[in-house]
Amino acid sequence: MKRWISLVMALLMALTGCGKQEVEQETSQRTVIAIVKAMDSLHWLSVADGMQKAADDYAVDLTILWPETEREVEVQFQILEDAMISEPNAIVLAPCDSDGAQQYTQQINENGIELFYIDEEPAHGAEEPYVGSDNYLAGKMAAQALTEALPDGAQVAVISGSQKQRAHGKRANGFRDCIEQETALQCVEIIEVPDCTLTGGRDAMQELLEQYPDIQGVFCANAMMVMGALEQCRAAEREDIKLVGMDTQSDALTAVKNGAIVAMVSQNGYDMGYMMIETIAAKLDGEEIPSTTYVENTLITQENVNTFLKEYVTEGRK
Amino acid sequence: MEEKGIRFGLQEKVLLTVVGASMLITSIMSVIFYSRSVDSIQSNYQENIGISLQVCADTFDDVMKEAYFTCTYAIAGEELRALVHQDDTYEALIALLQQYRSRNSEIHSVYCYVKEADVLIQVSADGVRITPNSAEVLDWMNTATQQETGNQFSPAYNIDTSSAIQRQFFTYGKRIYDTQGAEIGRLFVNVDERTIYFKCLQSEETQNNTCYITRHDLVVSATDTSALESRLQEQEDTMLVSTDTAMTEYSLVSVSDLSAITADLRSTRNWILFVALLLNLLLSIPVFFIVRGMMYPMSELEKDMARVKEGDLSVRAEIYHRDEIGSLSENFNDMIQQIELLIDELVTERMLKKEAEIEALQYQITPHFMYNTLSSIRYAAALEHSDNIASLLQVFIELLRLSASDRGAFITVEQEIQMVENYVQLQKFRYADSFDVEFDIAPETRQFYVPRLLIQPLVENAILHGLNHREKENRIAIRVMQDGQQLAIKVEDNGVGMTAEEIQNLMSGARRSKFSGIGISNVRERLRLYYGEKGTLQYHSVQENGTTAIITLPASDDPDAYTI
Repeated sequence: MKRWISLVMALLMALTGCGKQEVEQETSQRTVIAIVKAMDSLHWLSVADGMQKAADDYAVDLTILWPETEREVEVQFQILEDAMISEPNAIVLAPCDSDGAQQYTQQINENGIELFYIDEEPAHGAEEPYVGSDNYLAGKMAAQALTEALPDGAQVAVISGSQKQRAHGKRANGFRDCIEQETALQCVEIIEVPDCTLTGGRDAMQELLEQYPDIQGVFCANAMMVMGALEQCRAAEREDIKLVGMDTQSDALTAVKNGAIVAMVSQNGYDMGYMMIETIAAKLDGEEIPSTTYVENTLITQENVNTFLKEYVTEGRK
Repeated sequence: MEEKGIRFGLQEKVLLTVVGASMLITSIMSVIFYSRSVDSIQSNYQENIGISLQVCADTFDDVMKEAYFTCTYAIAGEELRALVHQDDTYEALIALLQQYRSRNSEIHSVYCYVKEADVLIQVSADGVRITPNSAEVLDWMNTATQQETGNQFSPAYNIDTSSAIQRQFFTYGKRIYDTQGAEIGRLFVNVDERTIYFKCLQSEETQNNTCYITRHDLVVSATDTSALESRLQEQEDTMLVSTDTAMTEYSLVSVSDLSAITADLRSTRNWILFVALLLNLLLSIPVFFIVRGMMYPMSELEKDMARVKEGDLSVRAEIYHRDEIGSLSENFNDMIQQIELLIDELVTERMLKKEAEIEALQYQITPHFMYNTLSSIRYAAALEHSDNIASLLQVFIELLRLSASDRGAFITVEQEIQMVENYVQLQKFRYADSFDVEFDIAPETRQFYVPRLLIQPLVENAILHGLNHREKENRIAIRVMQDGQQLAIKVEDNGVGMTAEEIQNLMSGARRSKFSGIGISNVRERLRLYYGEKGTLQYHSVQENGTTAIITLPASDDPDAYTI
């Protein structure tokens, strides 16, 4: 009888359990600091979004930092220096000054920090992994889009960001090379807008119109600038000018839908950010990763803008 | 054996088992489900706390990020560098610092140390103060400045010893260098701990949990300001949930009172147990009746068996259901039937044995032969004018005639008395009239049937052993009377009497009658066999004062009534 009683008691005790409980959220072992060019455009916001989601999915401790605009090179370097001293497992960099950033790479490697490039390709011969667009190809795609929209011999120009950012440089080069080698169009000018902003785009457009009144097409290397250019065209009643832009930004896409902009070369910022962190997590786990991961660029025209919008809205936030 | 008080019988046991089992099941279930619910609640609670702590952590990081940016911007900019030098009013520097401070509403103050002048310019919402360097100020500055190594994005937690009001700050402090790389000053961007508290912690605090921000187990922000700068205490019966901030490497900790979380659940559990107990007690009433109903056949069987024990073999148990009890009852009935048959057989056997004994003893010489021979002798005596002998022979012949007739076991009282009269006459002759016999027979009894040779052995015993024939006045009285349903036959003598031992020997002894060969014990036994308890033979005697034998038996005018 006593045996049964003690058996039942033991069963009850096991089922209840008691005592103090302590729970700690899991602290991940992987710290990553991402320093991007700015946070003033939808592009960067979606990049940050993608990075954060991947950080949650892969249990990475992620801190995202940025200078106020893409022009603030000094500030970005300050932040980079602080990041180096803090010794995270990895640093993701989208440098405002590609060449200037080179001086830090050695120190970063010596500190045992993995360096990754996002959106902006590292210098030739550099080994750091890169996730972003194939900017040269993007420029080419833009050129092809303009070719289809314009007659032979028409004048076109490029409004690009600062040449210090290799991405913009590549886009411009890709565009110009394609125009010169494969089309019958004429590329007359490449204007640099140091901070790639809307106002910068507008001002550059104004300059172009003044200098080249016969101009018929303009490729803007990002969405902010193309919106600025569009504004200027409307203001100057030159809505005949064909515009092509880059980046997936909803107001620009609306303009494509309306036909105000011929095409946008898409650059899925969210995917870029997500893939970046995903790659980092794999590398920190000891896996082999490709040195270059291109995000897909598609040409968004009036024909496919609706389907693209639908996919972008629903699937882009997977 | 009947027990006094409450009998703990089968019914009570079943009732107790049912109610006990029910109570046990309910208790175990409620304990199990309580503990599972508690676990579930606690883990849900934990998860929720974790989620909201995460939100607070992100808020904390966001605020600190803004302060960091402010500091970094200031340091990276040319303007600050140009103004960090000795001045009369520091008007421009102050204006710049104001600008920095107003970048973000969470920033409490911006301090700038001008090395050349060795002063700390403090710009805050309260106003501007220019504080000369001192030990406390230097102390504070060293605490508040970012270290050479480690997480540069984590603010330094400090107490502002450089000011009159000593607030707790989260500070980003950086050194300002000139173009040659020499340190010309320092810049401090401060966030008030109270701001952080109201922004991050206050909304999290509830009745049941307290929140803290900690750095390596040291409390840096809490509701209770006295807890600041002390170690976080571990307490009993609490649940600790913590999240680390990603950028600044502080921790958000929530301490919850476990018992408060589960208080509701506990009281529910207690209610469940209480209600279960109540229901079980109520349940016991219908169960009691059901069990009693089920046990009814059993208790009936019990009663039937008790009746059989008392002697009633005609009892048969009723079969209520085809179950174990029904089977018991059936077998019981068969058993009793069997017993009844066996007893009948036994009794019959013994009766027949006695009858056979009587028969065997009675007729050794056929009375007819003796009767005929004696008749011839009487005739011869009469011819020789021997009247005495003739009359004696007559009596004897009569006796023989009577005993020859009627072979049945039962004869009428009339017949038996006649035989006794004849016998007595013969004996009086033998004993030379030394005694007198009185016959007192109630007329209505004469037709009743009694077993043969019932009275004769008694009379013989009285004559042979009761009377002292040397004495005078010997008397024997034979009385037969009806007493209700019973017949009473008395044989009294005034002889020597018998002791109790002699009576005992007589009743059970082997002494047989010289006349019939039937002993007193035989008479007794036959009475018992025919009549059971209703046929008795008793002897009463006082020494020297005579003996009385009394027979009682049922009065019956039917000769076959008691035949086997």
